[in-house]
Amino acid sequence: MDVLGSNWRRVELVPMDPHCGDITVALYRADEGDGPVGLVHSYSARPQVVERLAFLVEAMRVLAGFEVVGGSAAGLVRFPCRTWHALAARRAFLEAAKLDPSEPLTARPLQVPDTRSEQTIRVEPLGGGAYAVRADRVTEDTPSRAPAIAAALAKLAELSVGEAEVVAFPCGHAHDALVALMLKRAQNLRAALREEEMQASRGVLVAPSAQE
Amino acid sequence: MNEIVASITSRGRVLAALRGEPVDRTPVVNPTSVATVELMDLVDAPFPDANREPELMARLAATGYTELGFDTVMPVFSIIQESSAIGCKIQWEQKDNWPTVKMREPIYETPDDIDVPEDLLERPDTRCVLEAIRILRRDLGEDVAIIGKTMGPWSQAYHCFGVEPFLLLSLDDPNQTRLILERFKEATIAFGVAQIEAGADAVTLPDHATGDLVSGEYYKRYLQEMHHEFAERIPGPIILHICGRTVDRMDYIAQTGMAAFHYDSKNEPAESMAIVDGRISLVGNINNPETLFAKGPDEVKEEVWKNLDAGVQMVGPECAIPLQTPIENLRAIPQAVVEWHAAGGRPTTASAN
Repeated sequence: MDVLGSNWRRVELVPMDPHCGDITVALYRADEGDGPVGLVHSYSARPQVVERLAFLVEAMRVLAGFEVVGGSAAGLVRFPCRTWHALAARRAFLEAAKLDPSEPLTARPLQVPDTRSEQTIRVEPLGGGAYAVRADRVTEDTPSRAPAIAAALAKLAELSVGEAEVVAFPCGHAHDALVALMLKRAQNLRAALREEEMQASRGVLVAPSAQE
Repeated sequence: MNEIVASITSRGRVLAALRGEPVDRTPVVNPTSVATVELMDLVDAPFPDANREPELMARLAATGYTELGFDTVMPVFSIIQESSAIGCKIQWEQKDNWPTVKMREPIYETPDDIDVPEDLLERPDTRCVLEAIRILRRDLGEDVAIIGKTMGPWSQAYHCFGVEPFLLLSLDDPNQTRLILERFKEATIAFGVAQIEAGADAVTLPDHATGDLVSGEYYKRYLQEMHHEFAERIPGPIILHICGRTVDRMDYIAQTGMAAFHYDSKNEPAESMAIVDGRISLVGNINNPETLFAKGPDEVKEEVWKNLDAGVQMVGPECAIPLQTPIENLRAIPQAVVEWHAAGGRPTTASAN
């Protein structure tokens, strides 16, 4: 297998895929004539890799609303808005790679029970790529979690934050599945960021003097 | 460079640069590892096995030349091969992490405890390196330079005594410290000589008197003379590797007779070149965590060009690269060198690949 051409830039990487013999899988991006496109890729030549990559492509389609370009075997995906949401693409890929491939793929709902309160968090599409974050069962003793969730969504997917807990994609297009996918992570932003940080720090060699 | 010579092989280019002779273009050199998890998949040679099985070690090392376009290959990815052979406790880790010595479980407490085995070079993790070098020479012929690695006594002391105990000893008891370094010295030389004899063109000698913990004066006091001895007794070019900001000791290092100093991005290329003043070649300097790991090819090229502008003799990563480093960033290093030489100096803009 040849190394990918210089037009491809790596977006995210899972160094050891527990669902496929610890191979490394990655999401790459290139700018094509029809807009940015992602490539789900592995350099491993093991026989089960083709099936695994096809699963990841399908998971990104179902869970995050990506369009599949040229059939799942090609490994190519793109956002339906034909732009590129860098952080959202990274997180969608990481979430897809976590899934147990023996389980059926289902899109997530736009509401979740909050993990830190008795509230239910709902995200309402407003059109033009905007979403309102709402919380129910808000009382004087239990203030709404919606502002925190909206801020976390904005950080996780590079959304703009407006008044009244409205977040919006800069492309102006709807991304319902993507927002639903991020909603669970948005409830514990700190844990999500910590997980990323720990992942990125693995495999960095430090001098003996700096080792613990 | 004073004069441009006709096109030569990668190996010829590296050897000439190590001798301080003119070259057709600046060699791209990795005195330390350029292995990544993706390259491991590409040739089916994952960590930790690629640190312990010669065929896998050689196959993974070869990708530095065949896939990345460097002028060198370097099979000794880790810094623990001799420590394992000596008997240190090793955490071998998995594919996505480095094997490390468990320095919180040191094996020695006093100089008298030091017991470098007579069959050091026959132990599996040293023998693996020697065999991998022979395989690389057999498979790659004379086209590419092979760089080995032998750990210096300061690093070995960290591994065997623990970092903190050894540093405290160096403050409290210089004589005991020197005794420890002397007792590890022969292991450094023996492993270096054996790698040259196995086919290595040069050896990297990491000795982690790093800028964050050890001063330039400490380097002079404890290591300069010994490094001079290494340069005399190891029959091939030596590339000294010390991490961190090291301009305070570059003058001393330049007097050791070693061929090159593998220097960290914490040191400015022009400042470093001025200090060594042609007495030793410089190599490295491309930042690992911020640039090679986290930025893109254009930023990598900028750092390469900064080194070439300063007249640095060989370019490459500053240290062993993170295992998740993108391949496109590593390939940008030789691309940048070719572009710089084609343009007769710094290209006006980074090419947008």
